[in-house]
Amino acid sequence: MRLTAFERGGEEHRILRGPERYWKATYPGKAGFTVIATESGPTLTHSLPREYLRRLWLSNHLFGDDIRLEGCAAEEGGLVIVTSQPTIVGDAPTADEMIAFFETRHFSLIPNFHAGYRGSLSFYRALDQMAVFDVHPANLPRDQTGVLLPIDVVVVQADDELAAQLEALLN
Amino acid sequence: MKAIVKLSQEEMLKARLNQPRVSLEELRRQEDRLRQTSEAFHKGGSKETSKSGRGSRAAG
Repeated sequence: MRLTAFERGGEEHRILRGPERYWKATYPGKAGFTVIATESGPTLTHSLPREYLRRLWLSNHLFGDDIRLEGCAAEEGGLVIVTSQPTIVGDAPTADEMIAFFETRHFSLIPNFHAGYRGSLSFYRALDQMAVFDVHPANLPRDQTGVLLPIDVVVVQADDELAAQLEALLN
Repeated sequence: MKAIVKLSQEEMLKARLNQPRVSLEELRRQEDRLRQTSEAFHKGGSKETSKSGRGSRAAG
């Protein structure tokens, strides 16, 4: 498989569509985004490769995804991480459906905090300090049987500093 | 269609692995529809992907 076959799929990845699996390649020297604690509060920032791989593992663990690390490549500009995940066929959920999806999993909506697209939703679960960012319709399609399936949300297990900042936003 | 939100991880994995096959062109159209819905959801679609927190560390 040649990376030249991939096309721009957003700010985090290049993509290659397949009938069974979607392939994603990070941009050289980049590894997607994460959210960290800063002096001004939680901030979206570039992710380290290990943080990116942890995020993918968490997506598999929390949301039943089947993201596979297919390999790494070196391009001019740095490391590229190549993954694949099942292709989802579906349409857009409503905001209420997205919120219900996370609330049934004991996440709380963080009011007025957006990481990723302006207006995207953010959620936090205090019991295990798990946070999910960049939730919007294109990242949480509803498949043809009605099942909501996260595909590209930013999952972070918050350290104590980030957890404290997120909990403060909930209050 | 009523959304199904209460599935276990195992049930969600089963749902992911039992998707119908559609053409690549249909997948492209689906992406366009989802993207348009997200843009409407964002009420303007402008992005705020601040990278100020870490700079270029991610390149390492």
